[in-house]
Amino acid sequence: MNRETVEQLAEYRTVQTWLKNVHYQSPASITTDEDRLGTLLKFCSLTEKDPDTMIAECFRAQKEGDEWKHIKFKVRRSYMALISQAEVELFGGGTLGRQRGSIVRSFFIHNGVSMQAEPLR
Amino acid sequence: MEFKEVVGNRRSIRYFQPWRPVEKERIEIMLEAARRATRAVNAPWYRVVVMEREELTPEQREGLRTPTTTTDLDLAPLYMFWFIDPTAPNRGPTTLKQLVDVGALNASHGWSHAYVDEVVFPLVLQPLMKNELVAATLAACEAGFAMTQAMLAAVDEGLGVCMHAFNPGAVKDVLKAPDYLIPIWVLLVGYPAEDPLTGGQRPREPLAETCFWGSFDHPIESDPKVLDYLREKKMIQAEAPAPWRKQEVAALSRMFGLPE
Repeated sequence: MNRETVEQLAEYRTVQTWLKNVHYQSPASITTDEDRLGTLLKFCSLTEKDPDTMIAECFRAQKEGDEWKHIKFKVRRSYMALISQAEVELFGGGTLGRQRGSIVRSFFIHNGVSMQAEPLR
Repeated sequence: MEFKEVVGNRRSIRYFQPWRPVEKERIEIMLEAARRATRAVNAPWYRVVVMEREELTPEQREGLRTPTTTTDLDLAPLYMFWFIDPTAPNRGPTTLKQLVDVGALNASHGWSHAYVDEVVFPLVLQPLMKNELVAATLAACEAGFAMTQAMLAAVDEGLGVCMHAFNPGAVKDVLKAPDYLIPIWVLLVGYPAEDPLTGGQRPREPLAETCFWGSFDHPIESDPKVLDYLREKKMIQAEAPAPWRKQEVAALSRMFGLPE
């Protein structure tokens, strides 16, 4: 992904889907869109992929007759591992790193790619 | 807690206090409640394996996951793995005669030891067990009665519960269940981290959609007087979502470091 700005990131279809859905489902969140976009931008720099590409990679290409989208489990798992890695290496680890990782997971979740993280206990 | 309130209070809890274990006494109360459920043939149609979360490795817990059983596994301190036993009717010759002996099945209704041995077992129970689909369906229904009683007993003890699917292959070597038992649900148990009433009762279709008098031509409409009574007795409670529910979910997500 080329050096993009937060404004350019917000133009991606999957980012718009994410923001629309997270506002609907989590209206009480204290995370700002600025935070969300800034975090996703950093993650995209790490993966060197744009948001739409990352989401598309998580689904098998639909064949004729396919009624539903099918998740590619290995790709999803690899992104889950990358997010966990990014929490420490890119986002500084600790509580803040986890918060940033949760933002990236939120992007995937609201685009239909369910993800979990071990809860803090 | 009065029964109607227990029924009204039961929710599917998805945020547990992961640090707080469930006391062995409360687990036993749940299991004793399950034992006392109604059961065809007076035979046990279920088995249950109880386990604390930490008895599984993170890899085993990860393997249990299904698309609908996710973070819940990491938050619940206690798991109850339920299995159904479609061969339960094999005990019929013994258990049905026990019911004759204790006055449950009586000659007034045609029952006798001879009836059990010469009619019920060979002509009803054995053919039933030969049909795998019928046997499994009946076993699931019968186990469901026991699971429900266990859940309601848990709610009465102040615990939270939620039924989930699970991937049995992940714990096959741990649970060591015999092959004839069919895994059905894992019941997650613990003390709720969310409001135990989860901000309200979850949506239900109107009574008339599922209940009928005499035939499907005559749906049963709710009686307002009965509804008022059940509200007073707390079987019927305020519907979800409470105005503060989204804030609660946001706070829980932050507390546990989970996505929103």
